[in-house]
Amino acid sequence: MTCAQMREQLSAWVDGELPHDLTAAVDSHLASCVSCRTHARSMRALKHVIAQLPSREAPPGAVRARVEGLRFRSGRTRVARAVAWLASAVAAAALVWAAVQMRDRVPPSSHELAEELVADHLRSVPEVMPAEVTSQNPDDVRRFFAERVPFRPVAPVLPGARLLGGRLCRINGTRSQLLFYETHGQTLSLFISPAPLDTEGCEAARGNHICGRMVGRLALMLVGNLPSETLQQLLADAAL
Amino acid sequence: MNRDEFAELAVSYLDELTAFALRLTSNAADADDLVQMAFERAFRAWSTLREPGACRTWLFRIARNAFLNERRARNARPELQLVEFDPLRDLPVVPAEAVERLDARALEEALSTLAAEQRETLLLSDLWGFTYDEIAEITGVPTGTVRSRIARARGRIIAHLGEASEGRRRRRRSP
Ligand SMILES: [Zn+2]
Repeated sequence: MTCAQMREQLSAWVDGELPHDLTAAVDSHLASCVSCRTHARSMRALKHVIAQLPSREAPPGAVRARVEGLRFRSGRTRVARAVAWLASAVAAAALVWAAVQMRDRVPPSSHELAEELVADHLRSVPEVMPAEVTSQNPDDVRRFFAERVPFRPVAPVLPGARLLGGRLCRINGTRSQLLFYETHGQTLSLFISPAPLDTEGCEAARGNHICGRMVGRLALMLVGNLPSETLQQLLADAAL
Repeated sequence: MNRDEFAELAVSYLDELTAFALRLTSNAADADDLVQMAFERAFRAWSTLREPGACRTWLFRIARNAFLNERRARNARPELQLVEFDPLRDLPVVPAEAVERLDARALEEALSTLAAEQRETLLLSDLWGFTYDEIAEITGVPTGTVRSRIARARGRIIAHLGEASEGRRRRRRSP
């Protein structure tokens, strides 16, 4: 076998996909050819680095609920309780879904966005829906978001507030971070998005306040049932 | 396999299908729609699946077909097929250590230089661990085509790495 013919076979050889006779021919060529051996090693190394990319992605809760819902759609074997539980889960998820859909279509005005983020805050705080990562350690939280969001994730330290964890969310169709903090007996939601947003300043919506600040290219939006000055101060002191 | 067993098995692949859909659509919103569409189809047609062992391959195929149908509906233009040079012909020597040093970002960049069907075939093999026969099943091409796409995809990436390191060396030499 010549080196040129060899190149055709090496890749399948690395995958263990060559028939026996060809495998033997490749083995004996490799035993005597340094350059083909180098190629084989670099192809195998490539296979290994690709295998380390994420092969799984957690879908948004709404998608999971819908897919789970398909299980029961025409199944008659489940008890009514399970169906009822699922129906309510799907209904709740559909709300989130509707908001997400709306956000994808047109970039909302900053007031619409504020309303929606507050609504998301109210229905996704850990008291209502379990967080996807629960940890006070910023490293753990960052690690959860690595590969899940299209930017280098952050877990800011807010002086006087305790990090609780977070979950994945989407803002204007972009995967974003949602972090939870606890301070003054209140749970705060911090949305972090790479999308350029009109975020400076504060707004009130549904008895909560939302304040925004750009840090580098990231938009930080903090939501909670605290005075806007308190939220703004927390954001101003936030250390990335 | 009854419906409940199928459902249990199918849903266990949800996260992998989501990652695959993200690769196909390169957009989270479209990926979510695609995943739902694929599972809806799978749940309609589950009784045609005889072998539980084939379920994962079958789901990937359904997702891929759903994606192609969508794209065809959206964009009726035939795709331009480029005639590519054969990367295996003049493969530069890139030591395995240089490949091992690649971080996720550099690897994604290298993957992005591949033709879509090469990238897809390579990822089905190396990321999701399908055999050549299973990939042929998912992508609807002969096994020989799968073998050749994977070989050329690897050759292309190694050639890309070779060019990149050659470029760095040249920049170092001429300040
Ligand atoms: Zn050789």
